[in-house]
Amino acid sequence: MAGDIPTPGRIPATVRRITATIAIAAKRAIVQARGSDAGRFWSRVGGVALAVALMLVVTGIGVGIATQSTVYSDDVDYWITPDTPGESSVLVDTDAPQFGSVHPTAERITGFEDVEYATPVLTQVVRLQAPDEASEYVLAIGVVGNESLEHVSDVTTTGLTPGDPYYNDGGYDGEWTGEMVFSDGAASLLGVQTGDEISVQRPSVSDDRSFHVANVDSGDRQGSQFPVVIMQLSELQTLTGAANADQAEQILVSANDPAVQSQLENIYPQSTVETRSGVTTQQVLDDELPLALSITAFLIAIVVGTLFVMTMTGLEVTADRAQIATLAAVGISAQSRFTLIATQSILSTILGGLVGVVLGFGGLWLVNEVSMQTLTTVPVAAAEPILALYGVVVAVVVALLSLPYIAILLRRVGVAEEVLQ
Amino acid sequence: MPADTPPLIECQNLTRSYTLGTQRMLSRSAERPTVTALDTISISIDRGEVVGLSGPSGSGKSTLLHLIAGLDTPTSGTVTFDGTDLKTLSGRRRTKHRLENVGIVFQHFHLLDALSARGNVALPLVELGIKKRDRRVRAKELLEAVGLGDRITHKPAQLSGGEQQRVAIARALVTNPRLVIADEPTGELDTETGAQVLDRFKSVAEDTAIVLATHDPETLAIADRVISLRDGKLVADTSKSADISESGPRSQTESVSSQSNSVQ
Repeated sequence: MAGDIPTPGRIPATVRRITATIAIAAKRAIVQARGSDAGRFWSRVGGVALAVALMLVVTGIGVGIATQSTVYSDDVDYWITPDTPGESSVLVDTDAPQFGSVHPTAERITGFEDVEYATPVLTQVVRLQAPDEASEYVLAIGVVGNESLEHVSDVTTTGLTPGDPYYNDGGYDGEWTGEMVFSDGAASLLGVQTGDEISVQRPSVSDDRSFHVANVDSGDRQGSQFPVVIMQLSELQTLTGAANADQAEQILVSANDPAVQSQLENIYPQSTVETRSGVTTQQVLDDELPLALSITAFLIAIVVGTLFVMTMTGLEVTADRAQIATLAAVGISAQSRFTLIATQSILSTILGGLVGVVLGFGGLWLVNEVSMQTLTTVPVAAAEPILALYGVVVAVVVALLSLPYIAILLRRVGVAEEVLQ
Repeated sequence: MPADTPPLIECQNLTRSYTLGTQRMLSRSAERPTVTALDTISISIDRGEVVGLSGPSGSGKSTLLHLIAGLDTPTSGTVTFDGTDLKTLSGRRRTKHRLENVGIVFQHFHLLDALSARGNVALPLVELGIKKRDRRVRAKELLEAVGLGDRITHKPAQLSGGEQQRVAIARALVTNPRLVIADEPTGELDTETGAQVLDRFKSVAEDTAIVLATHDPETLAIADRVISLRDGKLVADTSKSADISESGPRSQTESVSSQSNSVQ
């Protein structure tokens, strides 16, 4: 049979050797996944999958918080409220701390990038009288109407003309709308319905100022049962004597980026910027926590995944010593043996990454389902498609980090000793 | 073979000792015991010669085989392959030397489970960077030569012990090595299958030097020459052609050659 060895072709022998070795490694991996060693193979896949899945869940939550698709829904609401009254500040000292010049300030805030709108909010208890002479005290809330401002204190603003026309750039001489939106509770209390005329029993209101029921909120929101009326800010200011300094107690800001909070904190001295619910996650968590969470999850996944792959590869090389020694004995170079074992390791680790991506997205779905059933009304975690790529990339990094250990292990396989056995 | 042709393998005062490492944990400085597996062996093997190594377990057969094949390095002495002292080669070059010059047949076959018979035979050709089509043709030729032309796509688990050993023989010969070593090649085969395997082995090896280590007299029967070892020492070197004293190292055993049968 001598003299029949084929010669290498045009493609460099090294390239052909490497590609053929990788193909053999793939065959070995497939056989191992199906054969008697399947437990070890799938253990490695499972270990990597678990690490990647946990990382994706934590990262998804972090991304969710960071991108505001979680507790804030699409909008982020901030309330700017005064800390204390003071003569040197722009705060106006009335029976409670209030801001002054709120209309131009709200207009300035609306000009900020990422701010959708801003409206001052003034609240006063007023006594209203229905057409049938029934009168009751209700909480009047004055706002600058805006199409994006759907609810205030759980009462709809539908029915209010946007822009607070009576304010008229500080002249308080624009069109008087007299619009009042009644909560279901307020409407029931006074026995009024849309279109009814309303009298306000306050001495500062001249007789020619009329009010009417512009809308009755019969929604299911919890706040709609309280006796609340929503009205134009300037008209309430006029009604309560707060028009002199353009006063309001709070400024509500709707924004799409939490970064705007720092800008809002500089609007008024001695003020506090709060989020809508006051106890939402943003107040509990530091701004950098999502990033910290994601980085920690990444590092843990890398460390745990790499240690797991190294351990399982160690067991595998130990169990495979005889075949590795055989390869060396028949002349397969150390480089090719490394390529063979490393490829097997990389393939199973990437498979683990893919399984981890599936598990991770399942975990994100579960987190969102559980949180929406128990804590929030919107998804907590973001299941962004890019996370799938991220999971696979992390698996590849884990595989690459374990390669030096594989090289060390292979160097320790004694050819003669193994062949002797 | 012309009388002036140098031998393919020449072993000079070959000694291989192993240090027992169990005391290392207790004391690094303690004198560790050693065992001598091979003691100043000098032999030579010509091109195309079939040499049998005989002797009881622990006599040093496998150790000598590994040293000749370049799987191991001697503690002292030299193994020269076609004029090259194997001890001077780096690990990488020794591996390349085995790939190009040495075929190895193991007692336990050591085939890769994931590969077919053809894939196992072609494995050394992968390392040589041979084209896939050529690898397949060459592997098929050899499998047909060892009587496995109808088993080329079978995995090792689908082959009998004899068939697996024939695949291993085909793998050992696929690069046309100048030397084939076989450690108990029929050790796991029944007598009839072993005889068939050996017939195939000798017929396909042609001009290749073969060194067989075995206890089995049937296997030794195919050898041109039998070297007997005991306790790491050479005790007999018997040639069938009776030209025992042709070379220097071989003359070392002239005085004991008459005892070779009893040693075996």
